[in-house]
Amino acid sequence: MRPDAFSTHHPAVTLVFFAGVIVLCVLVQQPVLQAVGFAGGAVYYLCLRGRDAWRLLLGLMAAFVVLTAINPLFDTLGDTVLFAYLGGRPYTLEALAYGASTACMFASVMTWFACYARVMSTDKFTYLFGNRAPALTLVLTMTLRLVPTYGRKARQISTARRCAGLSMGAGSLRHRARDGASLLSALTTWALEGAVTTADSMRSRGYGTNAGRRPRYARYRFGARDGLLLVVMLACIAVTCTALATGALAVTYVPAIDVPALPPLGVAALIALAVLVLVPSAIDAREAIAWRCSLSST
Amino acid sequence: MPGLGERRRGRSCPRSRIVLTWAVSLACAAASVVVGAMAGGRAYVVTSVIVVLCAIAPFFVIFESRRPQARELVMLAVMAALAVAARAAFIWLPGFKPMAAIIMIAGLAFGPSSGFLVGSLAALTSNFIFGQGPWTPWQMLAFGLCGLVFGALARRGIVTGENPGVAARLGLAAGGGIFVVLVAGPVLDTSSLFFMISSITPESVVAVYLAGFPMNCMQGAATFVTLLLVAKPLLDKLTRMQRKYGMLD
Amino acid sequence: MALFALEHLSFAYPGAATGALDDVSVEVGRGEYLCVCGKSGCGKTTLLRQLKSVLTPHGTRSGAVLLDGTVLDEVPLATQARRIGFVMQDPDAQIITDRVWHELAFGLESTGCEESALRLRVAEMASYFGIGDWFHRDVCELSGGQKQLLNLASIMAMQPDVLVCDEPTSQLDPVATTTFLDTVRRINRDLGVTVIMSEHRLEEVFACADHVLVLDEGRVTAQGTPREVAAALHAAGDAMTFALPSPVRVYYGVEGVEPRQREDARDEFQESEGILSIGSRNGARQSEFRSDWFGVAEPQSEDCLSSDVPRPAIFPCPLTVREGRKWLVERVLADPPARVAMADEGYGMDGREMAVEMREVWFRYERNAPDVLRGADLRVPSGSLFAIVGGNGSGKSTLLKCLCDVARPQRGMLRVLGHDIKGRSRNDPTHGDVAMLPQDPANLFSKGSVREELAEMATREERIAAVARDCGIERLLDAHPLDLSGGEQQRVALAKVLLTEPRLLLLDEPTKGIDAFFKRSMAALLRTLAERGVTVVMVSHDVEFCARHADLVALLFDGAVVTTATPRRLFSDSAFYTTAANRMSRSVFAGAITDEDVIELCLG
Repeated sequence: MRPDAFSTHHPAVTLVFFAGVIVLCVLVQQPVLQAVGFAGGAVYYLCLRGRDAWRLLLGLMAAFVVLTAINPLFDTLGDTVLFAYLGGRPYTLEALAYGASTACMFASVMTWFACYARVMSTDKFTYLFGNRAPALTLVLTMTLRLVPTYGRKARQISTARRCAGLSMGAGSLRHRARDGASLLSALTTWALEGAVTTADSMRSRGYGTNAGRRPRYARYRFGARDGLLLVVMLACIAVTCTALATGALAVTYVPAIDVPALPPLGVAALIALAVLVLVPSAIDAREAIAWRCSLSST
Repeated sequence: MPGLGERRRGRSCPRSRIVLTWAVSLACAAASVVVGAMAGGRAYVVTSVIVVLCAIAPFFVIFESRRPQARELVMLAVMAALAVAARAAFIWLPGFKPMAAIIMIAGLAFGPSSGFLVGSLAALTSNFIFGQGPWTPWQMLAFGLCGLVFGALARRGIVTGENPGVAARLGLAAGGGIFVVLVAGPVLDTSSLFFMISSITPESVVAVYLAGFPMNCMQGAATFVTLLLVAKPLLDKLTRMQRKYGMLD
Repeated sequence: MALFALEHLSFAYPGAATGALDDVSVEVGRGEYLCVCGKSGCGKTTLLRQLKSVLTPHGTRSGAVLLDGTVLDEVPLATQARRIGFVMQDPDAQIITDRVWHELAFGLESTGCEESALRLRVAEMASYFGIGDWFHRDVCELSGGQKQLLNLASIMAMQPDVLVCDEPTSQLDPVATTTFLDTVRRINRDLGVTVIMSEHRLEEVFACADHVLVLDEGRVTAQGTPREVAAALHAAGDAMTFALPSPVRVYYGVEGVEPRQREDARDEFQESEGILSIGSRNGARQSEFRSDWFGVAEPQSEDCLSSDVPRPAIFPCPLTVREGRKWLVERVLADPPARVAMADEGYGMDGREMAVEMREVWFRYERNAPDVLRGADLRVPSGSLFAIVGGNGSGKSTLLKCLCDVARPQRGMLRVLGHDIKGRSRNDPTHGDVAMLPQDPANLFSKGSVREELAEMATREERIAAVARDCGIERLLDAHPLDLSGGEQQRVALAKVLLTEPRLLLLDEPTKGIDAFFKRSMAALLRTLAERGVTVVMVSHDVEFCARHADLVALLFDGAVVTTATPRRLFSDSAFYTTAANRMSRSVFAGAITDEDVIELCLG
């Protein structure tokens, strides 16, 4: 799979972007900004996954409805009682509205995490933390290699045992659990044998001989476009945070709904957030257009 | 049985440094609680994540600062990967997740802090494969605790790994199951409480934990069965490794 | 001064009664290619691991290992890591990280190479090894051969002075083996890197080595140039002669080693620079070996030598097929043999019951995956030793899986032991009549001792004892299965499989990672089974093994059986996919496929 244009930026830029967007999506309670946050995520996820994106997005919409609807069950505050149940427990509009706000936060966070999973490969993750925590990132790298290896080996062992006339995964639950335990046992034996070789191999290639800083093969370079993008993003985040801190985006849901009109700083924050969440999609779109133009000119 | 991994390390971290690390992380957690309380709104959600991260980070920082040796790194990676991949061994039992059990075994074998690392790394890795989410820090904490607590128990000789009788094996397995149902599972459910529920009221808290209860019971049962069946052979294998290669010694 | 020098090196594992290495002395010059060979368990790995301090096992050591005249243990570990590259056996477990590029950089990162130099070295190695295409890949997606090349490249990125390879190809198929060994040879020639290689498959390594060291039970039994070692081993009647390349074996089988010549040879070799040393083996054992191993060839060869036919004085011993062919042509011209063709005894299929009947079988693993078997036809007579050969991806292993009923053909007819496989439930009682020995025997091990492993399969003590005796593993019963050598593991796994009392035994690459001696005993065991009425079907890359031991061979290509014939027929008809002995002799003899065939015709 070819990565999208935004993914080709430096991992630090990517991380700042996702961390910023997700935290803002959690903090913002102003309905318009919340909607913008979710919409930006949904658009980018559609850019990334195409038609497959709808499965997650539709699921999240369903979750939105459920999470909205259940909040009034836990929270009875609010002036406008829609109806009462269980002998007079009120189901209020305000609690419903607040539920919708939280559900929107949940949906945005999930969507942005789904984008994050596509963009932030393990390579980038380990690259970012490799300098700070070389030993831990190495363990993580090794684990990421071993998991699929063990999965494959487990299948091999299972086939081998079945072909040798041992029962595998048939019969009662008890038998299945026992077969699973034998398989796991065999897998562990093999894994530990391999561990000795891997450790030898590491030491043989000089692991632990260098007392100083561990140099790295740098796969990513922080270029001018990364710097530019980072400045734009940080500016957007700063504007939104200022608005949040000064109360320009303040709203209340319970006990009474109060969504004041946005002051100028609030409008600025709205624009800043919109710019921020649309950055990846815009970069992708620009590249798509550039390709189309270059195709038509040839 | 003393923790296999605790006897010799690449370099041990001085006690003062350990205390300092924990103090810094505690201060961070406290500061974020204060800021979160002042900010109001939904800032408490961010605060909760920061507090969880502050609970995990010291283990990582201390591990990193003692420059662990190759063999230790490999053993952590192998146990974490086994914990994640063990599901493939029970493919005929849908929904059967032996991850917590393997982490507990790692804790028994290597001691509390390595046990915590195995647990949290396994959680992180499994999220790389199945998708990261806001629950990642909570999972790292929950599974880390499995390793930590069983490592601590083994160290204090409450659970012995070597030649356990039927009673001891059952006890260990039951302990694992109960731990998952009462501690690890609820810790995981806490992330839903923060990210999915608007109003944290007694009703919503009860509802979230009750909703998670059946799942936690299934997980607990899987942990019980796995510990009962593989704890002994796996610990034997780890001991053999130590004898044959001086691997963990 | 030599790059590496071992001086009277002895080594014993803790608690072992006998030493693993006993007074080994050898010098390795700069740019030299040293081949270390010997039976499995002779101490090859132990010896090579003495060459790098971090890999040296625990134990008691005497004597010295010198690197550039400095005692190795005094050379800083960082220097050792950089200067001594070490490739181990298992291609998978040696890999550390999850990406190819990271793996290439790992050694340089660990030794603290400068970052700009690091990029250059990684780029260089990726280009030299042609890794560019898979530079960004996950290592899990690579084949075994690619993994081992990656290990080699990762080590070469550190620009070592010496490359130590411990049986690097034992887990690889023949094509990958050739690629790997060619690359090592290229590194040796182009870059002048010293190579120390241990191998049990000597066909390719023997000829390109400058110096060969033969170990037996930790002692050096011979060392010198390949020709000197070949002569010395034959003169001593050493069992190692079995592992030597075909041309060498045929040469000595035909030319023989005269007692007088042998003495001369020994004196001469011992004089020449003093590098040859033949371990003082007792005479009785020597003659025992001779009568044993050369039962057929020896008396005839002596007759020949004493005949009055003028003989080219001493034609140097051929090491490669090319040299062997040249020698054989001259030999035949000088002394035309009575017969020039081996008759094909044939293998009567008529009237025999068929253990396997397969007609027009098609199989694919997934709905949208390509077909792996594409109309395969196969008939395997009961009680025969049947081999299936073919290249990678020809569908060999899949075919075995079909016979074993873990893969059900989508189309076609398949009868195994008289039962149609279609519509049969997996719990059918006849299911147990078929059993397969997996390619990696360790896949069957999950217990702590061989005894427990066997007990997993059967409860009757006598039965277990009988099978253990058949497989020759009685003395291994209390060992841990993974402490055993490859050949021993193979036998334990086979014993496990045999305990299910199969009537059809399937073997997937039974000779992988196994030395020449284990192969012989394996063949004998399989023959015994076949004589008892068990049908044995094996899939193998090992042409030599199939040629020597199989009753019938089927060649699989592109998911279909191209032909089924006796090995003599099949291998003498093909020019490439055949044994070294056949390639060497095909211009002068017809139908000679084993070393013994060629020797017989030459002397006949």
